Amino acid sequence: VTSVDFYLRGGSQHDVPIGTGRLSLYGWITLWDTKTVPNGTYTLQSVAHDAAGGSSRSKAITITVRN
Amino acid sequence: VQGLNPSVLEPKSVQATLDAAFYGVVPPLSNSDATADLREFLRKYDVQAVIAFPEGARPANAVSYFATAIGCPVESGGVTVWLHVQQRLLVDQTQGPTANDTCGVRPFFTTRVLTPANGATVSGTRVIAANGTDYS
Repeated sequence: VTSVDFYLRGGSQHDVPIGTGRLSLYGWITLWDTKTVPNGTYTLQSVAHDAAGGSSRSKAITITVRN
Repeated sequence: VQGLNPSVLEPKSVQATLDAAFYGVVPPLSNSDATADLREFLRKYDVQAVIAFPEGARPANAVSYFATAIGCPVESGGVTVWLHVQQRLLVDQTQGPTANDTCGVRPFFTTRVLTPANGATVSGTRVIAANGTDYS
C-alpha cells in the first residue's frame, strides 16, 4: 500500500475526498475539519492504493457530525 | 438499455469489483466485505470453476481478488483457473497466512477505517485513521 485516501458520502456529499493519510505508527492518518460539512449522518471509507495502480475500498462506517 | 444487458447478480459488489479491475478504476462504494461477498456469490450461484483471462486494465487485481477468497489458482494456456470452487469454499481460505503468500500472485490488499469508530459522533477537527494491509 503506497497511499490511503478518505471519502465521505451523505447529505449533499457524494464520495467527496476529505483527506489523504500520512503513514504513521498508528496507520494512515489525517486531520479532518468536520465543520466543512453540515451536521448530519455520513458514511466514511478509506481507499488504499498500491504501486501497481490497484486500489481497494474499506467497508463503510457511519458517523454523525454534530457541531 | 434495459432488456439488452444481463441483470447484475448479487451481491452487486462482486461485479463492481471486477468491473473496477477491468476498467482500472477505484472500486465503487460498498458497505460490505469484498472477500466475503465474493465467497457468498460463488456459493449462491454454485460456481464450480473460475477462468480468468488476462484482459482489461488490471487483470492481476481480479486474480488476487479470487485468490484471497478461494485460494491458489493454476495457470494453464495463458489463463488462470480455479477448479473445485465449492470444495474450496468449505475451507476458510481467508484465515491465517493468505493463499496469496504461496500463490505467486499479488496480494489483494485491504484497508479499514480505524478511527472514528462506526456509529461515532464527531465534531471540530478530528483525526481519521485507517490501516492498509497487503493481505486480507
